Amino acid sequence: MTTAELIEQLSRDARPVPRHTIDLRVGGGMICGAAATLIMVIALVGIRPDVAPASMTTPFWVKAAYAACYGLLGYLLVRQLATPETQVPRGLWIAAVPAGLLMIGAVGEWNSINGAVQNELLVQKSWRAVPIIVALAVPVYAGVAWAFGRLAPTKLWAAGAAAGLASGGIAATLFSLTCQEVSPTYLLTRFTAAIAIVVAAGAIAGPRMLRW
Amino acid sequence: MLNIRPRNARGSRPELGRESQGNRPSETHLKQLMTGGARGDAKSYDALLRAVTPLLTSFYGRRLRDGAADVEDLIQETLIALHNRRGSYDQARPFTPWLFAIARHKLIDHFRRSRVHHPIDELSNILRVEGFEDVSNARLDTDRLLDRLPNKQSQAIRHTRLKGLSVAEAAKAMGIGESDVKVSVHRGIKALAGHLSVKAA
Repeated sequence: MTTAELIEQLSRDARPVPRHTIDLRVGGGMICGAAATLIMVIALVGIRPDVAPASMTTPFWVKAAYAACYGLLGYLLVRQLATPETQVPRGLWIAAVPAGLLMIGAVGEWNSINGAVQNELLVQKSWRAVPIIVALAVPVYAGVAWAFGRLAPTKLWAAGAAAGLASGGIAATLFSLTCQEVSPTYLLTRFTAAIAIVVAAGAIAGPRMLRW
Repeated sequence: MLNIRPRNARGSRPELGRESQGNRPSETHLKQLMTGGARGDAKSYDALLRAVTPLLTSFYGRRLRDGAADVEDLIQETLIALHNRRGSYDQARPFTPWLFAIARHKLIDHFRRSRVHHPIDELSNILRVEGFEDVSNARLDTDRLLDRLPNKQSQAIRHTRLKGLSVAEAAKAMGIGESDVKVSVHRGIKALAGHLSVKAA
């Protein structure tokens, strides 16, 4: 086919493009992924039985907000990396803020407990939250990867990492519906580790999955 | 600061989208056509694709020594990508950088797919992607060329481009800062292009 013929074919398919295509696709992909994750949470992990009274307490919302901040930051980075001119997205520094704040709480807790409880928090208490959150992130990541299909990321490892941040954050937010832990140390270690793993996995998968 | 520009018969880089030079469409005009196309106006969209094609032809023509077939293929691939991913264009931003970011991405992917593990081609690929004048006439002896550069620049280029180290790793190996590495690579490549232009003439 000659280029002229190709152009003819393409211009016959000149459907209007919504002005906010990036937001619509990324948001839509994330919402659908989150819905699938929520189903996984309800069916496979189980919402905590005391969710109603717990939702009146502060720790419940701190957990959800911590994870949601990363989900939101991930979304903002994904948006930027969806355009081909973006080399370095802005606002990366924000990632330090929730973890920094939580660390203050964790250090406060750490200093107020004895060695046995410290050991319990770090070692003996389950780390199963980490692989669970990573698994829960998969549908959301798939949603973002779908969104990228009609967008133009040029820095694929970064786009993948940002998608990982968004999906890790959302997965952790929904996971907090199942989790009864209140310790800031627990939250800081498990949630942050899980999100970091999804970011790394996303960065590695990016150049393979998002290529165009 | 030395501003070494690549030798170019037209005297400027056409893809920078400055004012109309003869038949070359301006940024404003292209953006208008793109916006019209985004509204669903098939005529504008058709005009846009036709206007973009010669821009892509010169962009790829200057960077691919292999000739017409590859250039034509790449142009078509890029037009298709442009079409499929036009949702990623933000109308509040200029059109030409978006266009050439996509063209550059497709070019890098082309080089990646037709990978040739030959140090000489590596270097000429680098220069081609950076947009310097056709290097195929010059005989490239990588080591000899790099030796003509100041030590810091040739080292930086060897580390980051020929050995494939990251900027951080190169900085560590050379004992200098990361931005120092980047600047050295940048200056080294410009100097190399300068040398090559002299050789080709």
